[in-house]
Amino acid sequence: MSSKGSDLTKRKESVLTPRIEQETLLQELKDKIQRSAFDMRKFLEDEQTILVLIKTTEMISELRTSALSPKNYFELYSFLLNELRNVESYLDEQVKTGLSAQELYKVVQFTGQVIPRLYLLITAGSVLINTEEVPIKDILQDLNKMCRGIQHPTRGIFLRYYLTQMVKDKLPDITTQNSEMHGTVEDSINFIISNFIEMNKLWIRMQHQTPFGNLSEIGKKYVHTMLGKERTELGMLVGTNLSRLAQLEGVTVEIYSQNVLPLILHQIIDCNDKIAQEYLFVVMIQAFPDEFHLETLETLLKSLEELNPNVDIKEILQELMQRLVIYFKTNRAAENQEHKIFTTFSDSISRISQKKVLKQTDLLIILRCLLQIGFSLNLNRIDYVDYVFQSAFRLLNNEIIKQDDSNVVTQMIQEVIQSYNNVIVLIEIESFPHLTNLLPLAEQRKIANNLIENVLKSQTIIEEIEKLQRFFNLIQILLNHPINQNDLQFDSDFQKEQSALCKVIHFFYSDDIEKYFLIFQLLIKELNGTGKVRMKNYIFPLIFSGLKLAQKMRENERNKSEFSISFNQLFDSISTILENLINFFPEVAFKLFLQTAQAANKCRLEKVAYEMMLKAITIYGDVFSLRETQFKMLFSIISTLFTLNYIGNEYFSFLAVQCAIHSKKLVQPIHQAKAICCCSRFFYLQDSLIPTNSLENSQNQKRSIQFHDDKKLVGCLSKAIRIASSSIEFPVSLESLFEILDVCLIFFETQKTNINIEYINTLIELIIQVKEKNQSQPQVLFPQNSLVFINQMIRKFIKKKKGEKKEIYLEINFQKLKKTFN
Amino acid sequence: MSFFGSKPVCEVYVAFTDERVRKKITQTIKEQKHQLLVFTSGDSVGGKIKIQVKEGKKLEFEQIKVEFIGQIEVDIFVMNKKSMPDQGNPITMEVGIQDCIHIQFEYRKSKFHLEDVVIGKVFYLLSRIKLKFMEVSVIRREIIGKGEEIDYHNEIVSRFEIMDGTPVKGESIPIRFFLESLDLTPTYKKINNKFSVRYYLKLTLFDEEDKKYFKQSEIFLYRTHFDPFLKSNQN
Repeated sequence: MSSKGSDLTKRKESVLTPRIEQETLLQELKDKIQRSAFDMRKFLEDEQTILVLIKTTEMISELRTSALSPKNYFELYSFLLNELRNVESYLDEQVKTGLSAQELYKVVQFTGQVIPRLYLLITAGSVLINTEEVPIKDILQDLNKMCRGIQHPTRGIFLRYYLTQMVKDKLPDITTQNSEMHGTVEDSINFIISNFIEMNKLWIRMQHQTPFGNLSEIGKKYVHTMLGKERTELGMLVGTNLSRLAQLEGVTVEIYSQNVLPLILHQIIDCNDKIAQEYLFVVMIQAFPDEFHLETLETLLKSLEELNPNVDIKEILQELMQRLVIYFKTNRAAENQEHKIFTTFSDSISRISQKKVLKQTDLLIILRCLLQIGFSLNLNRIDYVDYVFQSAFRLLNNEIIKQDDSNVVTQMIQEVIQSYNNVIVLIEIESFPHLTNLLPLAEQRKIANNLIENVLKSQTIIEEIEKLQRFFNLIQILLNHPINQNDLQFDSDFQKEQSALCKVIHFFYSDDIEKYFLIFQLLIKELNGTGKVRMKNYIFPLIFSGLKLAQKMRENERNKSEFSISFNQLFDSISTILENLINFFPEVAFKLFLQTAQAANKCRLEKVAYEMMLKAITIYGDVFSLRETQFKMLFSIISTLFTLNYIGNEYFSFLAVQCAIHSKKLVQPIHQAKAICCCSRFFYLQDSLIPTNSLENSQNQKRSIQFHDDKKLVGCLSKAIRIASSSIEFPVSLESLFEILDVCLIFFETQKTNINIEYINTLIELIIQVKEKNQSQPQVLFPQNSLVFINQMIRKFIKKKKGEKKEIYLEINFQKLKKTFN
Repeated sequence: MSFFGSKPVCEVYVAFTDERVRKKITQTIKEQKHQLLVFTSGDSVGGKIKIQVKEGKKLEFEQIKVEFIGQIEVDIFVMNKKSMPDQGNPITMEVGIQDCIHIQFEYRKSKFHLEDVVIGKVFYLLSRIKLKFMEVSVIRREIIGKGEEIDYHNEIVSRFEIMDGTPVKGESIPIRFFLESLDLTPTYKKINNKFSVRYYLKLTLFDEEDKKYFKQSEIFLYRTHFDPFLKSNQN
């Protein structure tokens, strides 16, 4: 073979002509085509076939350019395609009216230039197929073979794309007539696959046949990137073959798995080109039905491992798995298949992971897909979730460094939470806390909050101690993450999270006392000692849990004679918790002691109730006696004491006296009068006389102990009257006195105390005096109310006058009182 | 007509018997179109030869000899139809430049009739140069005279592009080339030891630096029939 220089043919070879230049060039070429097309159409009308062919050759010649980017070449091609379609239908018509299609097929091959010749040949081939004179199989084979004349990547791909476009609708399928001329679906498969292989080869070659010239390294890199981009644009044309193949009805799952897939995979693997492998694998997954992929899953996944190490297997796997997830939503896999599908995936992922070709984040993303596959296959298989979590945990090697990784893991865990929407199931996943603990604090908190939210929403009651312990393991972070005290009031997340946590504690109980006690102990263990900021929140649900347990014990007392724990033990625990709290939150402790006292009373634990009351009173004395809220607090004690119906006289008397003493110590006289007056009622205590507002929660409870101490009763009332008349300013003093009168009348009615008619009338006289003494005061607004009060009182007594013991009311000096205020 | 290099003493006119009805062909000779009569082997050639001696000149002769010499000096065109010869051996050849390019090409046969198709392929065993395209051209070589007066005349009858771009190792490029699209004659070898027409297929590869790599192979052309319709150069 000899060689010598020649300037016979000059063809421009440049890959990356600037954009503007590209556009100008494209327009020029289009104009040229337009001109030829104009002539061509004229000849077309005149039916001058030879001239039509000559003009068509001219048009196609413009596709010989090397100067256009693939994108612009595509535009040029599309522009030409319209014209070629006209030519094709013209030739089709000509053949119908006598032109020999076979002759045409030959004559077009006289064309000297290879590109126009082959475009014309394909056009003529398409016409020839329509005549059914020659077996389609032979025509397709011939076209396929001749197309090898174009070895230039872009031009070759477009030529073959033209080939697929022209024969697209003519390919035999099982639905079409089956004969020698029409061919079989196998012919179509063979044709498409060999065209696919050729196109793919050309496509890959683009990467390696680009002239870099004297580019610098940076320049080369840039060109490489641009090339990748341009190549990707062409991938669609290559992929068309796979889509067409998938459209053939004759490609059944059997044919696919036995004939089609092996060929495609062989080609994809063999080409060892990153871009092609990535793109074509995805196209293949998208083009063929999911049933096919399931049938060939193992092959498909194994072949992934054989791809070029630079291939982003993650993208491919993700595509496949996500599609299958959607598929399984509407098509449940057969039960005996489920496990096989999952293990096929998990085995494959494990092998890929061992090869260490994928980035950690990518592997995590794949594991996340595997998780979704598991869900879509069978939600009941918690072991699938556990497997995925374990794999992720192992992969992360005990720590998470990258934000990306933590995002994926978080998403994964969130999805599990949402999918099950049931904490009882979630806590069964052994590896759940291990994986969660690797996450950053904020993520751990988020997950713990989700779990809590879930319990709240689903109202799941956890009564098994093991499960509860697991649950606490999962939300541990909320109980011990560091708190920035200064930011607390701004950290609304913290407040929300803690309040949700408090709510959730109410869902941990059992009707089984033994279980409940264990739960309560666990709550103490987990919550007590979490620091004062947290305890301030937890204390309420914690104590109420204990009190609820006490209530349940009481309810069950009759059915079950003995529990392994006693009331005393239980209240001891509660009391201990509260005592630890006094220094930090006296008010909370105070309230809860009162609550506990009531609970103990209900359990007929006289001594416990007494002790709780004493504790509350002690806190009051130590802390609140100097505060503005003292009156309110003292009244809490007083009204609680009214409800404690199981406290014996000795204890009761002591507590009542304590209340009276504290009443006298109140700062404001009006409060003193009110409180002392109220305390007086402790000293003649009968069921009917217990103030109604204190009976709210004690229906059906009869006071078992009657208490009467007349001396203290009169003492209290007299003290109250004294304070009201001497220390309180008019007209508030009047109001106070009326209140006292009202209470006195209650005792008077019983006729069993020293509050007799003299006492009443003396008090009325005192009221009249106070009124008259202050008659001159102009700003009196009060008498109007007084009158209403008096009238009410009188009416009440008039009514009573008609009933029993009516004589005792006659002597009350109401008329005088009324006259004074009229 | 001049004899012996001196001034002509007479004009010679040849008239064929069936001149009017005989098949004619237009042939371009030295850029001028000529209407030529077509004779085939076995045809009897009859007619009159008129010799007109110029005034004042004298021509003496003992006999008149009519001879076909196959040189385009007489206004007839000879088309010889031969019975089908064997197809000839395929032409297969491996050529290349070391470590640069290595191809194997094949023409299925070496003897073709004028409406025949050249079928073959070019197989790339090694391809390290960036090629722009590849073509097969048909070269006609006329050899006139003998000995020292020999005269060669080469002409590219046709160029036929068979490949665009650079193939890679393992690619096989088809050749299919219809001879009927060209203006060809059969191969003639040493007619009367004075005149030969030989044909060659020349495979040429053009690289991006406009260097050419080529290989010529001789083929043998023959005529089997006349079919004016198919001849692209006929009226």
